[in-house]
Amino acid sequence: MQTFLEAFLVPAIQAVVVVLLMLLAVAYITLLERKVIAFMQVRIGPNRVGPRGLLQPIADVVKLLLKEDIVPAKADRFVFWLAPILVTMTAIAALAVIPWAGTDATLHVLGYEIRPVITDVNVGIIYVLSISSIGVFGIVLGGWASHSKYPLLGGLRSAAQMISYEVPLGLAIIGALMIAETASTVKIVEWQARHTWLFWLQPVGVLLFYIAGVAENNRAPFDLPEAESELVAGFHTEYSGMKFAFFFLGEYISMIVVSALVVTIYFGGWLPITFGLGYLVPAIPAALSGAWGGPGVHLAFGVFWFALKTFLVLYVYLWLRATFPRYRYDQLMEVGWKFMIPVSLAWILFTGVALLAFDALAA
Amino acid sequence: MPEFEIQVVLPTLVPAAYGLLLLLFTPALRDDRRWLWAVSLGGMALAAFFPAWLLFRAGATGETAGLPGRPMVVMDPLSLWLDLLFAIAGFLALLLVPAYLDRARAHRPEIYPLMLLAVAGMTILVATTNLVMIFLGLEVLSIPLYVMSGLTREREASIEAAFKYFLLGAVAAAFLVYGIALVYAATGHLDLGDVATAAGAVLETGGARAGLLAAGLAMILVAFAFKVGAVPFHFWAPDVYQGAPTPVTAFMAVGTKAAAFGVLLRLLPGTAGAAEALARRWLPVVAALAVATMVGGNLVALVQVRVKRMLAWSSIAHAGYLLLALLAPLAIGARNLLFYLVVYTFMTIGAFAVVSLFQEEEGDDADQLDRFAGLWKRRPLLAIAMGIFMLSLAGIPPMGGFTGKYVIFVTALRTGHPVLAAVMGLAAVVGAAYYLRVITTMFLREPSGELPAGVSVSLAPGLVLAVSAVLTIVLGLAPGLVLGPLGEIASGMIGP
Amino acid sequence: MELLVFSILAGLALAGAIGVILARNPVYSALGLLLGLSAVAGLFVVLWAEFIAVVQLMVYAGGVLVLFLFVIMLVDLEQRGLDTDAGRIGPQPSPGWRVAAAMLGILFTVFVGALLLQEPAREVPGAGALDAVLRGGGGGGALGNLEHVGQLLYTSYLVPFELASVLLLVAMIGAVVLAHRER
Repeated sequence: MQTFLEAFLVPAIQAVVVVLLMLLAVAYITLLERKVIAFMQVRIGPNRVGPRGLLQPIADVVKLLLKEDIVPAKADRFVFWLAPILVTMTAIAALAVIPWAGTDATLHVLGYEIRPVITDVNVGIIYVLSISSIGVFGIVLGGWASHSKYPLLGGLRSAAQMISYEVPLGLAIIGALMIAETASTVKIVEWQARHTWLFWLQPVGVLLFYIAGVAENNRAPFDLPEAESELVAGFHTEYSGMKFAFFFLGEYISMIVVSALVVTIYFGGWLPITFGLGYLVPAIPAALSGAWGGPGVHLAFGVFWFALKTFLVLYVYLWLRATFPRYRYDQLMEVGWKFMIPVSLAWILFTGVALLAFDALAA
Repeated sequence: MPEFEIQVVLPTLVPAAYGLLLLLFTPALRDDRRWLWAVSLGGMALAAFFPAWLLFRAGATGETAGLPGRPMVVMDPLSLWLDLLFAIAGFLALLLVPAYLDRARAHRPEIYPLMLLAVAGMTILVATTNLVMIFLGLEVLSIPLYVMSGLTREREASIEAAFKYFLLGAVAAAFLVYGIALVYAATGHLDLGDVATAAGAVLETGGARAGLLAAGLAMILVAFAFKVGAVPFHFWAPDVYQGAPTPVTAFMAVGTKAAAFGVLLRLLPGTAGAAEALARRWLPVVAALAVATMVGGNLVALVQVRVKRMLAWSSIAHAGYLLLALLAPLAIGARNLLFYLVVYTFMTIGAFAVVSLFQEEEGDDADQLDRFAGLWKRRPLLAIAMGIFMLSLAGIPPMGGFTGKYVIFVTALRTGHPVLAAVMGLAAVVGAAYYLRVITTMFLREPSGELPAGVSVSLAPGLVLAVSAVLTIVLGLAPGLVLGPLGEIASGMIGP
Repeated sequence: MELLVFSILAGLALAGAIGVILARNPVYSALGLLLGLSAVAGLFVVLWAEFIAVVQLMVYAGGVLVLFLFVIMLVDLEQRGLDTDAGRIGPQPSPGWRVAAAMLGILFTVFVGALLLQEPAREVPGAGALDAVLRGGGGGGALGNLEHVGQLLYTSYLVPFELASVLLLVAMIGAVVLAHRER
């Protein structure tokens, strides 16, 4: 019974905590986004609700909750309802394998072992990719179920776009997996703790992964599925109220997932920011990760560094949105198929040759 | 760990690599079709050279590749002979391609690499004893054929052929996979040798596993019966043969059949060799298939008015004779089967080569029997060549077709299948009727109407006709040349 | 416990498969397929073959099925899908044939199913792993993972693996050749 509870109850509680944190995070990322973009465009941004607009997200949530939930007359009701749920659920499910602190931060409460990751499967990174590939269904189906031309076009665009960019997304990380010799999210960070940030060894991989990730999230400059100047609001044109909120939630959580994944794979996850040079003077990273304290301290430091790095990567999303104009559809496809995929394949080849050469030199 | 011997996969590697490289360079050579054609002919020649060379070295007695345990790829005289046959069939068919496509106004350079890849698929199919490999080989062989059937999109029949072939072929592939899964469930093995050993034990104990094994083997048999076009799994054949571009039809009729029978040669006697009980189960099934195929194919061929379609039905009938050869004890049955395949290759490609010349101005096939009327007076050499192929297909001495039928007939008679032999004899007599009708049309009827535009024999098709005709006669007059070596191969064959 | 999880997943897979053929709307068929494929992925997880499960999701659900949906929407079967006979050409099979075909299919399924049920339980890699882990026995994770699959693919199954890549390439080229229209 003990192990049974440990296998189900603990992850369930962890999951609830993570989801609640995410809801809060998403709410404030929206505020952050508006503020940051306002700053970049020399505006002020929301500043009416609460001090400096800090309560704006709360007001937005209340508004979304109270709004009338409109279902178009000709819509397919079941699929119309299913689509936003699929988007949000898959985005949340991907969080399950993201570690937010090292194994030394494992807590023991009431005899239960609580690890700082919901589950560590040995194919964690590939799991995130496969779950995110299910998310496409939500968008495509949402566009279809609305029974309206702009959503349908938006849904089709996103299907084509997400299939196209899933390929480089998957190919981009293969180099990192080859070097670390693992696909587990925890083990890949542990590898980086022993060696250095994979970012230094895989600069092209990071770039490809991030670009593909942005496209996979339908974010600017790849936000064609919801290009307002052409498609009103794309696949979610007909959505309102909570159903719209779920699409919104799914998109922002996906952004967090991609950022967290970039941090985990390439920037050392929960490790303190020593730019991967920590191994030179081991005392510095040890001090920065709270090695003097118990598991609770480790957890606090791990979460802090992880959150900080994730925030910085997330910030680039907002930066991109404020800076780049949107791609045209054919340009998008050309970048995906004629640039991203060949380059990522070449990069895998290069990594493999480099690894072999390194082994030969070492021997 | 045994070393991976590259030469074992050479017969597959050469056409596959050549085909892929050709694909890579097709865009660059697109404007120069003749060049592309010549290059692909070179590829086919290479694909024929390597098995011939390995066969000549004769050191090739069962060298194998793959790690560890049971090998994935087997190289033995059987596979090398068939590899050679595929490459020759591919070469002859390729010779017919440009003339046909030009007249059909279909500029489809993709056909050259696809042909090479199909040959690669065939070589895999006959060079393995692993069920997974058999499935993969069958698909690598089939997919290029589906595509090539639909290449002359200007003709509706061609699209129909590709579509029908693909859909029914997919169903056959599903049967094969399901059958493999059931065999695996019953025996726990994928290699035919292991399967045979395990099957013996399974059949001894009987029960559920024996049932699973029987169901699985039956489904695999269905898949290959489909590929050879055996009645009642033949419904695709006439439409596909008629719709596909004629050179492709020639290649398909010969290559697919040879490859599928190559697998059956390993599959059925192989499993039976280890389990007498299994032989008793599948022999009546194959016998029934053979009878249905011989009778059905020949009877329906009688009423055809288009020569291409008539040849399609005739190829179904020939699958029946080949099935009959399969029933004999392995040492002699394999020899007869292989010999018949060799003869069948040349006479069938020759016949289709003649048909491929009969095209309308707009590129449609002009293969109505009436169009052949009085060919003797207009193009005597062509009429003689067609006459040779028809006589051989009908099984009239001294053509190769006669020898082929004769050895199968006699073997069936001697190995305790007199009824089957009688059926074969009757079917052949019926078959002779429609082949002879083509001959009478060509030689006895007066020419009428215009001769189809394409009937002016240029060098390449002429070469195919000459080679096929000469070999058909030689195989009839001196069968020992081929029967001898084939007999040695067959007697050396023990199940996998 | 394992039996319970298996039964639920197997039930879902069956429900999805039945949904695929019974749904009148092709989009619902695709959804049924999604359910079935996901349930099968779950079955792989029960067998502790995480990698296979993940690949199942990524390739079938994420790749193949999305393309299905894409095509369904592009050709707008939405209207025609309601009337399943509208697009047919040629003579219709009589109801008798349909019933006969259905009966034959059911008979065969029952036959094979009954035979498989008679099979004594056999040692299957990964079977019982879930229960073992829940009992605190640890283990698991060693089977069906990345290293194993990779090791096999590049040793024993090297030739079939390469062959499969050729096969996929040929299929892709074939599709392009048949579908591509010049100008």
